[in-house]
Amino acid sequence: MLWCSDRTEDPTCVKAAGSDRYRVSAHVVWLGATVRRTFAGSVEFVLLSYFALLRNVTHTAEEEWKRPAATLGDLLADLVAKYGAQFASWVMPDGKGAGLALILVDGHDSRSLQGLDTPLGPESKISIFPPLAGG
Amino acid sequence: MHGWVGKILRVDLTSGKISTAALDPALARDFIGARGLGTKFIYDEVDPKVDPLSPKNKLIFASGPMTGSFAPSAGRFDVVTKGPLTDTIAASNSGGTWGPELKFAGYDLLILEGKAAKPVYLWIQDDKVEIRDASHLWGKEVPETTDLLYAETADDAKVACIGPAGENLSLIAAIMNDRHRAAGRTGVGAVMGSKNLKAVAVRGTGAVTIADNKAFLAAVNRASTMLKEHPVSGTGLRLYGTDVLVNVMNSVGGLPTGNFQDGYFPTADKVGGETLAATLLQRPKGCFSCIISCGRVTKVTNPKYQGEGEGPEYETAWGFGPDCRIDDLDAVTKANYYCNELGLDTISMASTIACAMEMFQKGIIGPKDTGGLDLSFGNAEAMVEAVRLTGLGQGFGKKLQLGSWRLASLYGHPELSMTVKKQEMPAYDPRAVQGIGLHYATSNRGGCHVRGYTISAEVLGVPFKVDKDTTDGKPALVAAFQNLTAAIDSSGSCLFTSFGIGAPEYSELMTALTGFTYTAEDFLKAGERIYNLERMFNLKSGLTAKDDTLPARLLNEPLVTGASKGSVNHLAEMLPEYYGLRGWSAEGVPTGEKLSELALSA
Repeated sequence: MLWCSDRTEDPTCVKAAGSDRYRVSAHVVWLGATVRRTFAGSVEFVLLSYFALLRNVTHTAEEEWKRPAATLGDLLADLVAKYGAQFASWVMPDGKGAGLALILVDGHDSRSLQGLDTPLGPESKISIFPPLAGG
Repeated sequence: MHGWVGKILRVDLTSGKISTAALDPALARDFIGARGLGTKFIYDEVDPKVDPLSPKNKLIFASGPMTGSFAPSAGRFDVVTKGPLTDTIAASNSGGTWGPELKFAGYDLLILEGKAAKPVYLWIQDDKVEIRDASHLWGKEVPETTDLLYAETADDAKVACIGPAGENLSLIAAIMNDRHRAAGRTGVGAVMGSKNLKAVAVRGTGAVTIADNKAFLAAVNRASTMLKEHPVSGTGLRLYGTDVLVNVMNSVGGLPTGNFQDGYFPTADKVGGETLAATLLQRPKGCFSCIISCGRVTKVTNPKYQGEGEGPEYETAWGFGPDCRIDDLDAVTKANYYCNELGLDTISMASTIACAMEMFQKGIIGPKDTGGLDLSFGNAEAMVEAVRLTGLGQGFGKKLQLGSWRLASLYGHPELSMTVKKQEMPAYDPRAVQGIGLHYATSNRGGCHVRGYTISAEVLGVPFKVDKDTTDGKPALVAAFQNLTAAIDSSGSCLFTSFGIGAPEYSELMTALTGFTYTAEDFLKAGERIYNLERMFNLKSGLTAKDDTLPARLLNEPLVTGASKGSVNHLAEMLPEYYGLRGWSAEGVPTGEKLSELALSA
């Protein structure tokens, strides 16, 4: 359920049954998803998750990335531009590959996919871990 | 001798006889120490068919040549015996400071035989060794026992002891040292309890001698630099501990959830290393000479689960967390504290509760069986109480203390026990990671990850990356990891050093330390020798190739959700090739040719 804030006069909001609150109409929710699918080729809405040390530079555990990025390499280049040298040293220490960092595209290790050439889908989930181990 | 002290301490608890003997240098060279040497003595001196809890079983505390030296992270020792949980050879590895102290007191191995007529503890001060009455300690928890022994012996003594779980002969009992470190797996605490041995306190004033000081210093500096500069051993483990793996394994769909009913837990992050570091963590802690410091000193202020101690590590956070469908880190940490205080193995304890929860879910057991405990998945309070009851041997805890295989068998459902050779598997689902399944199936002490941690290559890409979903190449990978691990464990070095250094560095350290020339091949060959000796003990104890398997669920029931949805483990594709690579017959028996190559007798 997506709730409207105070914009009760917004035509996309409808009064929720049994409540004083207003919710986003089901039609609009459906339309949003359709728009996302329709324009998937040109607008990326990848979901990024950061772990361990990376959160020290991203200052968030998760963000939605809307900038165009056709491949994982494109995306990482954008992220390095945003988050700087420290991020790059953990994720792309040689400036080319992913090094020891673990980068998952929809739960699959990019090193077992096409590496930096791995294509990104419109709703891909990218999980980025700095080098780590344990047991 | 250098590296090794060259002396064995033997204590017959039945007669009270205490003796020492020289360590054969050739034996030390070939079996290295700790796990390897301990296994060699058990193999030579204990009938493989012995009842593990009878006085005829022996209990060996064994250090390695590097233990107590200034090599990086050289604080490890092994407790070797026949394990009551698995009926296999059992070598349970621990860190802290106890192992080095045994070396400083002048002994490579402490061999305990027989059974004391009443509770006793051992007090070792260099050459002076006493068997002392422990009646006043019996029934006491680990922290109180440790404090009382400091007062009775020396305030700088090192103490290894059992808690009530070991006294009650719980098959999942640990031996605790330095309060919070555990020789946890295979039920070694029950063997100690069966001998009426409450504790071993030790204080030594000696040192580890080095064959070539200059070369050893150079080798230590080189290894230390590599470990410090490596992102895993240099920073990652210190900051987040092993619990950082929760999110990794969940993201790849390999985090066992709800007693391995699935491989993905939506709220796993709540018990992960990042959350732990931001909430309960007080400081990281290292063992003797450790430069990694993966240990977690923690504090829970939530009144319901209040306490202070160490942990949780990854396996513990997973077991009491996602495997029980619990995401309350305070409760998980409290369960860990109870295990440390009462002397329980966290992995087996957690997985046994998860098994009971699935039986509860399926209506196989109910409140009448559990003494009113609502063991529904997700019930954190009941989980914590179940740990306490198990540690004290009370109520439903009397059944939980048997481990999940015996518990599930009692109710006619052994298939719900997530065990290999009756020992609970750790926190990596073999359906999501093929090689670790082969390792679990062939591990010489049953379900265990630290005898062949292929997760390092299959998931983390350290030191190299292989595809986790394929079976291709996995038999060779598993055998290589198992052999290297056997050698590292036996050296007295921490397995975590292998994230930053490899066989060339270990062999360089060993050569400079001991004076025996070890090439990288020699080091790995010693590991293979030890692995085969363990296998021979297990075969003589009655195990067969039929025991090299996984719970049917992992072979037949695909993962339901997460990134590895639809996967099962393909053990049958890997096992024959593994036997062949090992030089074993199709029945999993080392051939005469292989035994000759390794200088082992049948």
